[in-house]
Amino acid sequence: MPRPSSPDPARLAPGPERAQPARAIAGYPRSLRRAPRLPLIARAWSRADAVALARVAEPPAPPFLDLSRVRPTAPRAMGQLMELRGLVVDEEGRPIRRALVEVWQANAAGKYVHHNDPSPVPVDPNFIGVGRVSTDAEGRFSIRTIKPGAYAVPYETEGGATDWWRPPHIHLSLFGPGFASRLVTQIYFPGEPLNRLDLLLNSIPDEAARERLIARFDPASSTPDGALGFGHELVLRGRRQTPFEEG
Amino acid sequence: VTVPGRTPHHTTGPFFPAEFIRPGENDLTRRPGSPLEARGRKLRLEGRVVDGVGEPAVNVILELWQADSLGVFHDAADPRFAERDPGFAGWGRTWTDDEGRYSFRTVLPGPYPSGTDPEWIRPPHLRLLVLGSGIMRPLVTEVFFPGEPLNVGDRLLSAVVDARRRARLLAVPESAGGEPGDPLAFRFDIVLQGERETPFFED
Repeated sequence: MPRPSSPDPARLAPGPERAQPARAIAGYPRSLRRAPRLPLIARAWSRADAVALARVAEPPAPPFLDLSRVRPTAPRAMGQLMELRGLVVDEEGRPIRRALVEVWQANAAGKYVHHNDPSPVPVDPNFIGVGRVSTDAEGRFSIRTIKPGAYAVPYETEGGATDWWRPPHIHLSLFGPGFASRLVTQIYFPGEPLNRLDLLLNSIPDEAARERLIARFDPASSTPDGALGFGHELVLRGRRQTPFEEG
Repeated sequence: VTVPGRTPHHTTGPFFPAEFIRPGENDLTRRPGSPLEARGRKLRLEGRVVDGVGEPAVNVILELWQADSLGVFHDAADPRFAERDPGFAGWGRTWTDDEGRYSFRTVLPGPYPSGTDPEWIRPPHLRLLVLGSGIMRPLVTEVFFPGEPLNVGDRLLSAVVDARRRARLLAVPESAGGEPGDPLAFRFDIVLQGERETPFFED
């Protein structure tokens, strides 16, 4: 059965700090209380870093996810229909097949269907915004959805009015070919004025790394039924030990 | 060849879907749809996650990754994959309740060769990944068991140089007194920040 090869533990070293977000971010109280203060422990790599998980991928998800309706026959949710074409690769640019991608996002008005979302913004009965998708043999997946709205950060309101609005974004949680390739990230949209003000995105010092979180507008992949096309590449930690062979 | 840079991490935020934490997913002794039960000594791990001001860390997501009771990971990358225990799940997930508490049901993992140095055999250990709102990058820690002879030479455990900090990676046995064959019970509290901070490893 073909399956992802595993990363070489000797080639999994931590990347540059400048290319990752700050752990503790001024203006984001929960990060200030939850970020470790003591230095992280350098670790020797072992088999535990190279192996993947078994159970989360059962059953495997298809490579196409439609979040724009709650059922194939249900009405389409309100907002701008869009299609995100994703590609998941390793650090050598090689596609990662069968990566599981968990997806969640707000609706067009900036509201999550979630018990933690206290905002008065309306829920759309035709939108849930939660699903799973897997990459195909070329490392590709696509998500048909509604472009998420911006929203004011809810728990900043404890001390008064918030001036931090999250820009439109989609949350992704990825399971690649090993523990070391586990990634939880967010996708932003190009040209959004709120991108420049977002505390999370802008806690990444390296501009090129920030850009890697912003999807690319891709008019060529827009669909005839009115879905705006976006492309996005995700690079997971790890390089292959040996060239992949079908087993 | 241009080597692309890694995609940066981000927090899950506060809206991680409850649908992604399925019932029974904190029990690694069963696989969905399988009548088999994991072999080996059953183990209950429970604890509390607190933040830097001592408040319970609510809705923190914990992922447990470990070898089975034979020391085999459930991945073809493990050279002993064919010998694995088919009843063991290999991975589990849960999240903390209103008091920051969590629990897993699993088995005591076996030791296994590190795969990177023939001299280094990893002691029985659990690996926990901590995710959640305010946690910008996944936190990685490992749970070791007191009295395991291989603990002494383990390169992750011994990388925690300070003895008091190192002791925070040892699970605490819960009151004995059960019948032989009862699950082992251990406690592992996670302190995200502060003087009693849990040692976290570089991600």
